[in-house]
Formats: sequence, C-alpha cells, structure tokens
Amino acid sequence: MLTLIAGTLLAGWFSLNSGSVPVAVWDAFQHPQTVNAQVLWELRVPRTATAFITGALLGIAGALMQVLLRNPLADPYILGVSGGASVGALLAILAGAGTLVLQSSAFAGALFSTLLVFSLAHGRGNWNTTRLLLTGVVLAAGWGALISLLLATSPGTRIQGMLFWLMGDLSYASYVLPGFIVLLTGLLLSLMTARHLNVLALGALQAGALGVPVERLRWQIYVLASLLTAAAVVQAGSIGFIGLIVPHMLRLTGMHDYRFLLPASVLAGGSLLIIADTLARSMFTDINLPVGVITAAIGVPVFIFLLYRGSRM
Amino acid sequence: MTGKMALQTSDLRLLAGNKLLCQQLDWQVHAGEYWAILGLNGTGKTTLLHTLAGLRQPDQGTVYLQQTNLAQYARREVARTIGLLLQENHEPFPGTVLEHVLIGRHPHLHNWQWETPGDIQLARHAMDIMDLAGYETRNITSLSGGERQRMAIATVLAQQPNIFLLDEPVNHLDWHHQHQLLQYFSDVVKQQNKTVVMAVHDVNLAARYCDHVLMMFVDGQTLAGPVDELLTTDNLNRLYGHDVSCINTGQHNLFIPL
Repeated sequence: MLTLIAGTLLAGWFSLNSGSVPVAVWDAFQHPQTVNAQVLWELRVPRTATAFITGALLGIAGALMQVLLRNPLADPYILGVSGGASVGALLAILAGAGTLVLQSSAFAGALFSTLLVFSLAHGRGNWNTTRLLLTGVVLAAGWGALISLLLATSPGTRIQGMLFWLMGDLSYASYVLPGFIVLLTGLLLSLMTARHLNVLALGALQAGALGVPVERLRWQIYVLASLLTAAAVVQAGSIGFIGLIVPHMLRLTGMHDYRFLLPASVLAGGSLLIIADTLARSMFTDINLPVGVITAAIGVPVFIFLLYRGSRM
Repeated sequence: MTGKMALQTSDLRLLAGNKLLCQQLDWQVHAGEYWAILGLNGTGKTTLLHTLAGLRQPDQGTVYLQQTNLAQYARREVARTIGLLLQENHEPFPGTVLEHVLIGRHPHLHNWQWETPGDIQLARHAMDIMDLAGYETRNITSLSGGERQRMAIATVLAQQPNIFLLDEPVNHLDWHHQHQLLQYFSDVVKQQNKTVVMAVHDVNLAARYCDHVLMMFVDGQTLAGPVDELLTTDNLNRLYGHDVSCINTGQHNLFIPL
C-alpha cells in the first residue's frame, strides 16, 4: 500500500513536469504570478487530477463489477453503461455541442442505460447474476450498433472527435471537484461493504449462509459501480483496460481482501492513468495520442507479466 | 431424554419448480442429535437444508429455529446459530486458505470491525482439526478436491454454530478423512450438545455415526426416527428402489446394494 502511495505521488510529479512547455514545477509553486504557474495551475494540475480521478473511478468500478458478476472478465463497461454514455456523447458531438452539453448528454446516456438494465434484469423480482449479465451484455451490443450507425452516418469533420472520445480522451478535463466528490463518496460507500464483498466473492449461497443480505448488497454494488463508471466516462470517454486489469494486477500481487483491494484500486488505477496520459500527450510533439491506446500498451504487457509470474508461484 | 428443540418444521412443503419434494413434514431436531438425511438424487435433501438455513422460503409451512419462526430472524442472527456446508463451492478469484477459513468469522463481526487475533486463532484451530495445518498461505486454486472440501468444512467450524447443516460433507474425502470427520462431529454432538444434520449417500456412514435418520422418498413422503428403527433393508429397498441386503459383522450392520 505504501508502495502504491509513493508510486501515485511519483506519477503525479512526472505528469506535472511533462508537457510541450518545460515548466520548473517548484519555481511555479513558489512564484504563482508567472506564465509557467498559469500553465501549471490551469492546464496540468486539472488534467493530472482528472486523470487520477478517472483511473481511480474505473479501478473501483472494475473491482465491484467483478465481484458482482463473480466473473474475472468483467469490466466497468460490461453492462452497457459506457455504451449509453457514448451514444449520448456522440449525439452531442454530432450536434457540435460544447463540453458541458457533451458531458451532460453522456451522463444522461449512462444513467438511462443503467436504469434500463436495472429494470429489465429485475423483472418480477427474481434476480440472478446470469440474467443481469445477459441483459447488460445484450444492451451493450445494442449501444455498439447505434455507435456504428452514428459513426457511419456522421460528416467527416466530426469523426475524429468522436473516435477520440470513444477511445478515451482526457482533453475535455475541466471541473475536478465533482469527480473528486463522487470518487470519495464511492470509495467510502464501497469500503462500508468491503468485508461483505469478500464473502460475496464466494457466491450468493455461501454469502447468504454467512449472514450477508445478498440481494440488497448486489443492487447496492450495481448502482454504485454504474454511477462510478458513468462519472468516469463523462470525464474522459471510455478508456479501456484500466477497470479490467487494475483489480487483477493487485490480486496477482497477493491482495485479495476487498478492504485493501478497493483503496489500492483507487491508487493503482489513478496512477496508471496519469502515466498513460502523460505519455499520450508528450510522446510525440505534434500529435496527442488517445490515452486508451497507451493504457492498453502499458496494461497488456504488465498484466501478462504478472500472470506469468503468478502461475509459477 | 431429549435436549432442547434446535430445529422444527411444521406442515413443511417444498417444491422444485412444479415437482413435489416433500409435504406435510412435521419434523423435530433436538440439541445433541446427529441426523442423516437419506434419499435418491433430486428428492430434496439440499433444498431442505437450504430451507432450514433460511436461504429459501418454504413453499408452505413453517421452520422454527429454537422455537422461534425462522423468518423472524435477521440473516446475521441465523448465521451465528446455523452453519451450512454447501455441496459445491467455486471460487473465481484467488485467495489463501487462511483467508477463506477466516470468512467463517464473518457473522460474528460488526460492519467496520476487523478480525481479531482471537478470530485468527479460531480459524487456525479449525484448520488443525481438518488436517490443514501448514496450508495457511496456500492459494485456493492449487488445492485438490478433497483439500478444498476440508477447507470448506474448516470454514464452517470457524463459524462456531450450534447447528451444523452439512450437504454431503464426505464428498471428495478419502476413507481416513471421512471417518475422522464424522467421528469429530459425533464427539461435538455428544460433548458440546450441538446438533448436526447431514445429507449423505453412504448408508453405512449414517448407520455408524448418526443417531437419527430422515428418509425422503421420491413421492414426497418422509420417514423420520432413530437409526435403529428406520435403517432396515425393507425401508432402504423402498427408499432407493434397489435391493439391499444387510450383513452383521459383529460390530456393525453393513448394508450392501445388490
């Protein structure tokens, strides 16, 4: 855990120091009137903070979805939250709307998708994970088709913005505070149920036999994970891999208890996305890569390495 | 002389889909009794155990836990009194054996409370009983079927319930561990006045260790009573729809399917 905190701070420092203009960070902190300080406070700090918050949200949401569905392959987007958000966002881009409208539209889409899955899977009260998973996956596929339709019919000038958003893009970063509040609330709420989650990971029957109110807990997790995902997607589009691999990376290092796993997912998800975003905007001077490309490029080899090492233990 | 009432069912009716499992079951289990549930596959042994543990509602009738309607208990209260060993366990995520056994302490801890050294000691003791000393840091995924089963039983032991509901506890266990396990529960029943109800397929184990038996017939009928009275070749013929013969070895009655 200490290693993770140190890693997060280091990643933050690295991110603040990188950019198209060299800025001496200490100097800028000490002399807040300079241009450099403006660059730091108005561009890099919000961007770094947004990267951290988004990664952290995805990390927790991924850990929650995996235990909810008892499926190691689950990620925050598996139940269609990001699909709904994407359709909302693409429509806003198509209409040429500004950042605020785009984010609201994406959030509305995510919320609509969450409620739709909730009501469809709930049915007549008799709920099970398979039904939730199938409903979510089918709905996600439906959103996918709508996204393709939008991409195919949109004018060329809008396509790049759309693609960037779909691959995950932190350049819309603006307000940090709402995301931070969501993250903090989400972390606290999920920590309250963390020991229940340890039991739920062993299955609904086992959890019930050990006194866990399974149905209520599951709905809580579902709603919480969906809202966290929605908050992340609204800030930065659908950035892949973080929510899937961060909890696994931590498990492979021997962390199984959700009381540790959840805060660790915050730190690891956050710092991974900071690093990825820093690389994405500084690797080439003339183009900004979509950050989703970098998360995949970092995440996949790290994950395979841990998996390989883990299998020999 | 009988002990206090541990579990009681009144006019209990259980269904699996539309299939009748049992009906009008009026059954009393007292503290200090060791019950075996016998029956063919699909006659409702597991469903009955889950109903007794409060994991599903009776389709009709009532279950009483220590003379109070089970439905009136909070989940956590039930889990402090009743320990249920499930027939199948499947863990999709990695974890160590000690972590898993410690999960048994869950109903005894408050929301924000962490496991105390006392809880860890109880978990280790349960592991010792199940011959799992030294397995603390082993990853669950590397265990054999029998070791996994012993871990699941250790988890129920760490839960320290007064009533044990065991669904096929000897599954995957070798002869040595089968007899060690059932002897252990026999001692617990006699010395600590606890209650054990187990679903089992081996009639000879039931005859040797249990004092009572509940037979669940295909047509939803049931027979409950002391082992000596009910375990007869006639009853077993009817129960399994298979000819059974009995050999007396001098020490035990051995039942053999023909």
